[in-house]
Amino acid sequence: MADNVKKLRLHEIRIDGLSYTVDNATILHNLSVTLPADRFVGLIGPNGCGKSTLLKHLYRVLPVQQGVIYFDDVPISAISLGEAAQCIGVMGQFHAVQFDFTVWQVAMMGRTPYKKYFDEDTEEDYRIAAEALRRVGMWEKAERSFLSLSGGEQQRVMLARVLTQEPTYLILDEPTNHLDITYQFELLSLVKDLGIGVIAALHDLNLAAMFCDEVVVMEKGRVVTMGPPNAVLTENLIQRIYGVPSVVSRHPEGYPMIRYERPSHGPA
Amino acid sequence: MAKAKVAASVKDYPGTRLQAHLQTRYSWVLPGLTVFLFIVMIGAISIGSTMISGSDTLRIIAAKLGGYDEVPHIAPALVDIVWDLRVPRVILAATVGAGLALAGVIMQASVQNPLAEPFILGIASGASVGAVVAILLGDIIGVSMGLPLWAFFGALGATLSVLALSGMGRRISTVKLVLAGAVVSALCTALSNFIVYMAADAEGMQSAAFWTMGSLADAKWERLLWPVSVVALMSVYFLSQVRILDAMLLGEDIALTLGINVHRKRRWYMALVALLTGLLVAQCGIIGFVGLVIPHMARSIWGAGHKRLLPVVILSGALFLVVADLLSRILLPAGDLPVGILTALLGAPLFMKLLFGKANNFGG
Repeated sequence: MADNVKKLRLHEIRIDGLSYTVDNATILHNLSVTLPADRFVGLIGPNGCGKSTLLKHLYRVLPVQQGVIYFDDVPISAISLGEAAQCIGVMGQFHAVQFDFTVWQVAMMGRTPYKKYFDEDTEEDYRIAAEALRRVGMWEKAERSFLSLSGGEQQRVMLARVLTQEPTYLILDEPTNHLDITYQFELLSLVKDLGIGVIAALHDLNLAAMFCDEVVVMEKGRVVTMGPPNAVLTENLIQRIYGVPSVVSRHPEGYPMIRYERPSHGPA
Repeated sequence: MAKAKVAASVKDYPGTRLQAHLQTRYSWVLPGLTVFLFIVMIGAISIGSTMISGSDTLRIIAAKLGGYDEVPHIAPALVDIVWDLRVPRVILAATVGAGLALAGVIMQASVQNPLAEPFILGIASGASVGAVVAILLGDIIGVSMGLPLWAFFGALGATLSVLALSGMGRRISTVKLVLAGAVVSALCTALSNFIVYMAADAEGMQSAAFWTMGSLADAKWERLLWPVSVVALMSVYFLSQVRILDAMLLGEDIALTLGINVHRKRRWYMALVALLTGLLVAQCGIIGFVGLVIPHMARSIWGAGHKRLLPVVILSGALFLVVADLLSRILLPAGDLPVGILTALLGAPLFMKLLFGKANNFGG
């Protein structure tokens, strides 16, 4: 039962000298950074900068080749997958797999980390899954086949599955990539409202500016800088990292707003 | 009691009526299938070149189970036919059918591909190589070599080859998997046929036809112990793994973040499937497609969730092979048709549909 499980509540993730090489290409260069794990942290940077590779190390899809990752001073290798699954929820770029589960079944799979061998689903499990589906607005479609849903809906069901895990920390590995702007907003607001620690790889700088408490900027497998959006997302940085001129102003609520400008071509 | 409670609690959540509906529909499926399987088995025991009435069959079985050797008003020859020939054969058919169907379902979840099956991927042929090698060596050295063990090694070797050939990468493509299976299968079949051909008079060596088309004709009481107990144990074991099997279908990454060590589980499951396949092939040759047909049909009715799927697959696999074996006995007046011919006639068209059809998925 969920109540008896001692939940790990992360405060920080310390990454120490992490390097990753595949096919002679070095994706992460001796990367060291300490990430706050009780806030909404955005990970930004151009394509191929290693955002996703870094996150995949955090959720254990990639093995640590060199370096150490600590979750609150505990090396990641000392945490079992089962333990990790009870506190860390992961929403990745999932491939459409060939299976025919109902929405309800997919949501209920979030209870897997809490189950052993012949354990039956309990009333509590149903309540948690139902709550998660309501939260993402897929409750009415609980009986539908997962395969019959649109991409955005499938993504929301996947989020419900993650919420059913009752995570205390969330890793979002570019989950908004294929979603239109409405869904991107919905997804991020929903996650923000959970009030738990989040690390999200994001492409859209304005979304990062709006939702993140802290922004980490990566380039070529290294962390360039990190800090609150207002301090980090400057015209200079955007020019330097993305090579795009921009004007950054301040929204009345305080977060930076970025307008890109067309780069000038040819001789001025 | 527990079941009723679950159904009631599901109904408390409007929107999961389907779940509740399935639950009620499902509650009679297992008892129903079990009873039906029993009736069909009794029927299969009664039917044959010598017809026996169902009630006589039951009386003979009851008397034998009660420890009596003679049954009043029934000729001893009939008693022998029923008890010594047909009962073990039907039990073996049910066991092998259940085991092969189970092997198929587990392989499909392990490699996340609905086409995985011991015969199609060449695992069964690998087992046959191991078996004929064991018999050949046994004949040369003069001692029995542990046939099922060798068949297991053969099956394991074939499994490793198929996985290595198909890339074992992040996601194995269907095309690569099927091609790798075809290569391994062709190689192993040639190898075992070669050994059979070269060692034509080795003691206990079955014909090439036996190994490639399968037969249940050799069923004997004393050879039932291993297959029955292994199939039963594996069924129970995999029923404890249904959540993991479900999560595997969602993909490697998701299963991992649900706390499952996918790579280790997959290796372990594939080894168990090799063991199961090896044991069954050593017993009755290669009977193909059972692991493809049965899981596919069960999924199209009950969906992909393994908690419901596994028991249904095991029971229907048993049912399927009992019926197929009965047909193989009675279709030709001259005698037995290898049962693998029948299962292939039924299975190959479905394989084609799955491979080329649009419905190339875990649904129906």
